[in-house]
Amino acid sequence: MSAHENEFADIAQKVKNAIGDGAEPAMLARHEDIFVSLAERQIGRNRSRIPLYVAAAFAAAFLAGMLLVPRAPAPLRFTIGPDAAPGRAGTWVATTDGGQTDIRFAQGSRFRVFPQSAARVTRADDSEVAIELHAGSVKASVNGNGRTRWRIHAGPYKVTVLGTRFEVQWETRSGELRVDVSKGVVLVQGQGLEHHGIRLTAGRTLLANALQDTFRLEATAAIDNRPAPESARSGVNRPGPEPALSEKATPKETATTEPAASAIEQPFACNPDDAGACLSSARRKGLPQIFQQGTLADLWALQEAARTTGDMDVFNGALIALRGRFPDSGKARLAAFLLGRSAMDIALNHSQAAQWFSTYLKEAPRGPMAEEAYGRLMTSYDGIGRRDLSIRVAQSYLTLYPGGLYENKARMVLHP
Amino acid sequence: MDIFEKTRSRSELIKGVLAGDPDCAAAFHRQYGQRISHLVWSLLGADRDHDDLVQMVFVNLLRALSSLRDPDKLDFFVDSVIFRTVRKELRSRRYRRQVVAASDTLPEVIDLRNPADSLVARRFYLAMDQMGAEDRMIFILRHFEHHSLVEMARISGWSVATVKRRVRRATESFKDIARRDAILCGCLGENAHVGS
Repeated sequence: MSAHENEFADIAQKVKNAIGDGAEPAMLARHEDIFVSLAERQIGRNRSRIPLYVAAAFAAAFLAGMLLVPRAPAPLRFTIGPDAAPGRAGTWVATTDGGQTDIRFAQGSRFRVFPQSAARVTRADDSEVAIELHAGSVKASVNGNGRTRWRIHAGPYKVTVLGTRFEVQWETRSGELRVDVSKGVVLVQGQGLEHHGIRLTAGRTLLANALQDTFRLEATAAIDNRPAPESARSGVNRPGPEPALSEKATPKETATTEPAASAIEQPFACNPDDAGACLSSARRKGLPQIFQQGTLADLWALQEAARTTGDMDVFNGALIALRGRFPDSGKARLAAFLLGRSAMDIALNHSQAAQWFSTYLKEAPRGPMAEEAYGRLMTSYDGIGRRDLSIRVAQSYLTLYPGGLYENKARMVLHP
Repeated sequence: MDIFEKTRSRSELIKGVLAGDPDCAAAFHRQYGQRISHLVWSLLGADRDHDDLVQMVFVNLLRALSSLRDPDKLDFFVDSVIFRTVRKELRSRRYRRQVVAASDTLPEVIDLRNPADSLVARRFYLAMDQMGAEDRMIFILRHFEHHSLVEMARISGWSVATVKRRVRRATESFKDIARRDAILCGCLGENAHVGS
């Protein structure tokens, strides 16, 4: 090797130090998606002759469907910064110590690049929007349309969302990733996480370390994991924030001791934002009256108010009444889950909790709370010493939710 | 036996990819994705169109894969597809007079933790932009990727003698450019800095 070849090697090393080797995990993950997609579309397949009538059928279908079927993803426009400068894929957004910059998409989604961060939009069309977070922190507020896939690539991790609010922090040097979800659900995939990724729901935080190949899940302060399908159906009776389950329950008058007379004329009005007033109104009207004659919306609003104030007798009474009177409703199924959670967290009655979670899973095996019900059922069975049942639940859970939130728990049950 | 197994598995991999099997495609990418991305990155630098170019390589690869007769030559086949794709892109840029557009090939964010190396990288790819497409690629394959003359001949489709001649020409061309650049000249240890 000549002297100049050594000097070229020196330049090569410096270039590599500056720009990397082009094989970062995030980049490769993007490329793998592209390659698999191209292969699935059989880009390399030789064209074969097709009968004339097939061609004619295709032509007719094409003409008929031109207005219905989008042929290629349309670009999504976005702007960068307070001046709303038109964004272009590939342009880096680097912020200084004091500044932060917004990347705003025309359809309403927004990504805030926090101070001392660097990020860029690598793809922006109605099929996929991809953002590469080189370092620092990005807070996302995504308006999903069910069609566009939103992804943030951070080192060896990728965070996929459909419609949600969350924050991603990526520390390049230490290889630490933090994802906080304040609304909706995201899927986090990458190094050290399971192949199918970690499904992260609202109120949960994922902390992962690429260098140590570890991750852990923690509850965040802002809990807002309301069951979306139920709330969407219920209209005005939106389920409120999660109750402060650690709050001490203060049993008051039970439903059966509440006087019902003279309350019939009292209308029951429940403002979802004022739980105390709601309970007062219910007591004025008479709890047994509401349990026996109230509408589904009344009972749901009442249990919400009771849950918020910690009145677990009214909470349980409303839900049991709801299940008895509206057994075919979606809320009746959800009530079983809520009763199980109440039994587990407040009453510390694992046996009763297991019964309710089993009931919920029988009635709604694919319901919005099924995954959590499986996880809690495992714990409940453990709590009452039914290891055989706990193992069966763990096996079912791993089959149904590979890479799910309770995967570690399930594996610990199977291999203590 | 080992060779037979390797050949068979590659054949199956290629058939699976051509049939549109996503598992085979993912396995293929695991085997060659890093190589493709790295070589495109090395030849063009931190290019903002890197993903698009890699996608072009994928498309060309999938289109040409059915013509590969000997699966044992898949490695060189992949490299040759990269070589042809990047060469076409460089020629196209040259014709469009966009080769010298700094923003096309240079890292747009200087790494403040390592400004010296970032500067060398900028200057190096500016120098590369002044060279012809083949000279640029030959220089990088030889001095950055450390390919042998025989390997480069297989990848490029040229004879070994032609490759040897081009390596010499590309090296001299780069040294001429580097001598006029204070940063690169310093890296080469050249005393004769001709000025910029």
